[in-house]
Amino acid sequence: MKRIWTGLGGIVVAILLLLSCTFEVPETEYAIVLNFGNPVRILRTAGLHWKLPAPIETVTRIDKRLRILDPAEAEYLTLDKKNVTVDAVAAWEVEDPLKFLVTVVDRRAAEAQLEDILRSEIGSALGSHELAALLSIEPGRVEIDRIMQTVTERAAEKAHAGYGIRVRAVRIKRLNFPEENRQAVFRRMEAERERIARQYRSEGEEEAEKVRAEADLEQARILADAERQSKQVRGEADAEAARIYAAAYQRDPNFYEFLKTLESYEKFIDADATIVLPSDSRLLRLLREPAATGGLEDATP
Amino acid sequence: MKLRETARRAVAYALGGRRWTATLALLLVAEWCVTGIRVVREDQQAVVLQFGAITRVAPAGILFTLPWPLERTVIVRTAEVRTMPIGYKMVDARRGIAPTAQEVEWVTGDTNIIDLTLAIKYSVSNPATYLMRVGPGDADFLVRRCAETCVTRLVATMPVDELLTRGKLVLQEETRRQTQLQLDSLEAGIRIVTVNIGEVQPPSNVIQAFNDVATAKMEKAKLIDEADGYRRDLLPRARAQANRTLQEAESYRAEIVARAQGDAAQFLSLLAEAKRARRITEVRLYLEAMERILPRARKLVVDQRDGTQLRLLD
Repeated sequence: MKRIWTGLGGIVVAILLLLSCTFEVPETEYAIVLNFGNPVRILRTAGLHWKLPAPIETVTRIDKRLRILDPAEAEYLTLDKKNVTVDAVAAWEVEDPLKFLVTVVDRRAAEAQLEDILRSEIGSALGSHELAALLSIEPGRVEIDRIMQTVTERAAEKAHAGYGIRVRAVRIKRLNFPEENRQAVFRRMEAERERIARQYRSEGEEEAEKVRAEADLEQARILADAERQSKQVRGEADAEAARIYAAAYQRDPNFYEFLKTLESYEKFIDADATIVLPSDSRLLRLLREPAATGGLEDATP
Repeated sequence: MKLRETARRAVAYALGGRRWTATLALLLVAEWCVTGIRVVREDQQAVVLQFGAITRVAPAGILFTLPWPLERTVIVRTAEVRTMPIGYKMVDARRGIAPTAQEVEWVTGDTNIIDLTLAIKYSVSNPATYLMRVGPGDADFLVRRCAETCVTRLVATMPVDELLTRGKLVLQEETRRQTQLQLDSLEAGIRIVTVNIGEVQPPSNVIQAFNDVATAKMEKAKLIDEADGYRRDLLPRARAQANRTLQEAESYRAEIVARAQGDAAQFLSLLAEAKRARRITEVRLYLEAMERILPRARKLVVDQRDGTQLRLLD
């Protein structure tokens, strides 16, 4: 019975010893082994690791996951003296756990330091660019990516040297204007819209007037064209009639003249006309000489 | 009866005598081994950790691992699609609270301010890197920040009018693409499923002016339409009038030619007759004409023999 208790006690001691001599490092952390408070080893790979038991060697862990720092938005001045409020974000992670541990200890302190770095780097970067490098509709004019790349590189350099932090990316999350400039933007937007609205209205009138004028012109052209064609047709008709008359009358001009003369008499001799008839004219000859049977060669009234 | 007897004996055997400690130990060992068996549901993937180190990622199904504490598993719901709002808060939207200017406003390339909201749907594409790189609860934050930087940068190059019209689709697609690139460069193990643009509109204090532009645009169309109506009314009338003028000319032609032909025919038939008896015809025509002419005129007959006496015939 005593042997069993001794055995059990031995197993418990062994387990306790094993527990204090091993430790797990998860994928999300770095582990630093401290020998009486002095860092001796840095463990970057996950898994089970050995150390001396508790009071001699202890372990401190540092989160190595990606962190997003989102400081409050701040006002900056561009090269052309325009005020902008920029809300930046930075993605960072611990790169040198020992330096991190020694200089800033925890995340909160690290982010406070990082914020200062970001503010000064963004400030100097924006201060050397015009607003058009941030906002423009000209293709290729906006250099946000390039500016932020520079900020990222400089901040990364400082953070790495100072705190063992790797800055992965600094980006502009939001860009806006300070309140008073914002109101000015609204006023300008309104004015611009009014101008566009006016332009549409006058363009409408212009276009409508153009359509009307074109219609009037078209109408005049149609009518004039018709008039011209009509005159042409009438002229041709007259010519054709003349040709027909000529063709017929050509057959005997004298007979035509005779007929036409008679026709003319009928037309111009009316009730007001007085006709002088010599009593010996052929027309009246039978009045005096009923038996005469001569020709009527000079039968003129 | 027999079964019951067997069970009773088994229990008595297990509890009886000095063997109970051994039995208990065996049961404990069995129970310990069972902790290594897990069921991974259809919408999940399991990441297997050996003393904290990732050894493998298992798909849905029954998963056998070494018992605790040698191996542990972390279940990640990879099929789950999560939605992240941008430009507003989910809570506010549910309660009907309008987003603040700071949340919803963006500055366009032509320095206009525009209200824009998006919803981003994402899921975990690589559970291992996701667990290694992104802290619990940080995924939403990460996706939102990445997407916001992309939208800010894209909007900064686009004019307001384009954003309000056909630029939406470009923005949607580019935001998805660029956010994905950013997440990939940060090795987040997250996949953007879709980006949906919610609302794009001018800020409420200038929306009146924007609406007026729309009105003006319609007015322009209306004016042009009216003018077109005028033209459509005027031209057919003009063409009708032109047609009438031409018809009149044609009928004149028909009439005058017909008359000429008639006159010619009459003349020719008369001439044909005259050719047979020229003198007789001429005399007849002459006398017939005189018969028609003389009755209506006054006539003076002068006697040729004395030459002085004028007598009125009627």
